[in-house]
Amino acid sequence: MSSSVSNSAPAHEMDRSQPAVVVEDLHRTFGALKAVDGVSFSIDHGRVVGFVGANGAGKTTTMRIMATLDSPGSGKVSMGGHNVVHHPAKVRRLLGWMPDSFGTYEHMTVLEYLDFYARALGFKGADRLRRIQEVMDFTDLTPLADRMSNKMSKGQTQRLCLGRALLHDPQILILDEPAAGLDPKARVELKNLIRILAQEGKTILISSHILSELGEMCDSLLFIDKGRIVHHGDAESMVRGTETAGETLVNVQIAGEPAKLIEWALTAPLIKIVEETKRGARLRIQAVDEDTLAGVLRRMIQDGLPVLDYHREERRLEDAFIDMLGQIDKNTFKAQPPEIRPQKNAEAAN
Amino acid sequence: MAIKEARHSDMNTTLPMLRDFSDRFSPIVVKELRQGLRTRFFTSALILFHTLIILLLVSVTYGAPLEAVNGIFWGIAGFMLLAVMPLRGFAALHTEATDGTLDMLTLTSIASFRILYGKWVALYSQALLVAGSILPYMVARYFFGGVEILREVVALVMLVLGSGVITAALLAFSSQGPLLLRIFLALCIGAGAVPLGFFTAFLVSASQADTMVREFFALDLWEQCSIIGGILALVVYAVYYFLALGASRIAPPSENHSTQKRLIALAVHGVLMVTGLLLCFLCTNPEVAMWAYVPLMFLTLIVCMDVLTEEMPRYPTTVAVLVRRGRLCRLAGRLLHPGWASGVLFSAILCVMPLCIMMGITWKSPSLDWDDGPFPYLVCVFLAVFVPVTLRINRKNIFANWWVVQLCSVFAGNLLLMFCHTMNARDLGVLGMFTPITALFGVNCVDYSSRDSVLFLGCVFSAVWLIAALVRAKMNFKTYTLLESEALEQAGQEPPSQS
Repeated sequence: MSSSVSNSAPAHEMDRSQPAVVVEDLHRTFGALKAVDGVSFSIDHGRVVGFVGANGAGKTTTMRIMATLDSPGSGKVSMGGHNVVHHPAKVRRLLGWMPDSFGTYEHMTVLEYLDFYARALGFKGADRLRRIQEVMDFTDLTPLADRMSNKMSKGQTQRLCLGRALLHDPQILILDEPAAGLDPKARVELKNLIRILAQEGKTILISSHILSELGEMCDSLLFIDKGRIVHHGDAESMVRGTETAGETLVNVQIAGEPAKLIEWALTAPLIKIVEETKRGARLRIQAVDEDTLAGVLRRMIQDGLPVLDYHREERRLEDAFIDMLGQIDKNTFKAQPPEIRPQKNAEAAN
Repeated sequence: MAIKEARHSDMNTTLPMLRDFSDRFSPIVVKELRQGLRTRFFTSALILFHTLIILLLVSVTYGAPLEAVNGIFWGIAGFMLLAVMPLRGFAALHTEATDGTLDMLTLTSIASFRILYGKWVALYSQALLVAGSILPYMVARYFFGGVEILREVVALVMLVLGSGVITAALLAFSSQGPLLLRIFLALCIGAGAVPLGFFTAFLVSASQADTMVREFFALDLWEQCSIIGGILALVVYAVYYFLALGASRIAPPSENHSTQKRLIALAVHGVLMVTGLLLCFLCTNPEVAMWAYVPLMFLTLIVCMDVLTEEMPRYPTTVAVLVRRGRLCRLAGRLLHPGWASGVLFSAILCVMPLCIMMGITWKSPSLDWDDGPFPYLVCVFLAVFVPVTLRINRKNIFANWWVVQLCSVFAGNLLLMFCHTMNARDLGVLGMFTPITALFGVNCVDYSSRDSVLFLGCVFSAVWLIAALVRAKMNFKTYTLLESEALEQAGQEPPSQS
């Protein structure tokens, strides 16, 4: 796999005095359904941002509008300083788009597939061949050059799609669920590719359901729910923001049936079940002092539970997200709306 | 950023394969040809076609009647060129849309029209390949005898031209999602191809065709050139229009594919109208003008169907092209901006053009009169295009709605006709005059003596649909005003007055 995929061609016209992406009060409805309801955020150049939300939360609609593939009902979206409504062609030159579901072409090899898009993007002659070579090298598709593009594994197809999105060396990448359906090996490969792209200074917006991976890859996370941004910040602030003071997460494993532990936890005071695991459960104990936590373990043993493992756990991003959604439903979550800071880069540029 | 040295070991052997098509070819043509020539459908159809033709020729040596062999030969060739080859475009755009590849194409620098054009070129060049492969068999049959080579060449040219138009039409309608709608539209196109099939059959089999061909070659050179040029121009325009129609349906909402299409339509329709009127008033037989009228009528109906089913624009970029050229162009926008609202006004103007020719023919021709001639029937036909603008049966798909309303009208008209005839209640035929198409059916129920007045009333009632459509369009002109203001604001000019 190559360590770089940047094109030797001059960079596309991009206004670096403004953030790479600015979305302001974006609305989009489909009939009675409010798919996007006042979404606002900005992404600085060279940042990797994760876009998180349940199915139907409005991620794909927002991303499609950003990619000029859908029109905003109202609001403003700028990519690289260009309004997506007024200058879609300029935006497209800056943008690499990898949709959540896409098809390849029948009766077309990997090489021909990339050749077609390279031609469509205006590459000619030797430049085109060189660029295809660079991209194939970067995405490690060279051994698959003669493979029919519709006869590849999901992971290989994802790499092909990423290769296509990189052909014109876009400065902004929008990746909609790039890791969906990938096996662990393909997921690691994809993660590595994204890491290299981030190191090259590309601005990347990735949507995914695999929050732990997003947490590792991204500088910050955008959480969307029911068409509204409910949180924008890094993974740590997200975990902290949803933490309920005075609670501890504990992972317990027992010998025998985990049902016994669940039964016990349902009747025990100060304890809530977070989730059942293969050999036990993850519990939330409404205490932080060591004496109380030790007391809970003591009670388990006294009540005849064959405890094999009992340890304190760090809160996961998934837990934080689920908690946050719960808090939103109860209207107790303090939303952290993203700041739009167009001045920051302007100052830097000056 | 440094470019890493690519690993050439594997690539050296594969990359030269990409030089099979020059850079001058459109990317879509390259893609479609690479894919198309490898499909099983194409190779199997081609092999089957040649096998059948060879068997047919072999049968002649065993004494099969030449006339029957000729008929079957042209039947197979016609089926191949007018049905099998064009049908490959039946789902072309729909598949791109459902596979998500259309989005990716949109993000490249290829314009929507180029996508359609590239697909058409690839499909049509494969049809030309098939047509070219017919030539040796034509020569072989010439040696068996009983073949008029000139007539057959003309027939082949007609099939090739027809194939181009049908391919373009199927490609255009392949942008529509509902399968039933696409099947229905394909059947309509098939029905439109039937006359071409009959004409080909007439050319290759009827002895009168010989006289027709001789008469044509007896004409002056400029007359021959005018006829051939006229036919070619119409074919080119029809192909262009269908491709533009398809392009406007798959284009991103920020692009305007309508204004240019409408301007060209206006020019072509204007030329046809003037030609028709000149033929009508300068020729001794005014019915010669039918040669201009018939294509104009079909083109008008197709263009009206298209512009009346366009979605209203949402982006100021779609109106910017006219807005920035001054007040007069802004006014012309009510006719030329994308969207059904301006389409109503545009269609009304287009519909007047074929009616003008028909008025001329009716006026000059001694065999036609105003009441009982084709004129009032045609008024109803042209007014029928406006009914779906006010009747919204299918609210989600404006294109499907247009066809559903027309089909419902035909269905209701048929019901009325059957009811009147079975119940012997001929007076009830007047009920049909409330919509243009049912008026055409209803008038056939009533007594012959009262047909003129019923037809006249039918025209009057049908005109109400046009007025309703115009009112609805006027109400939606505010969308254009809003977009024009935004476009002007963007261009840093004064916004237009709200009047």
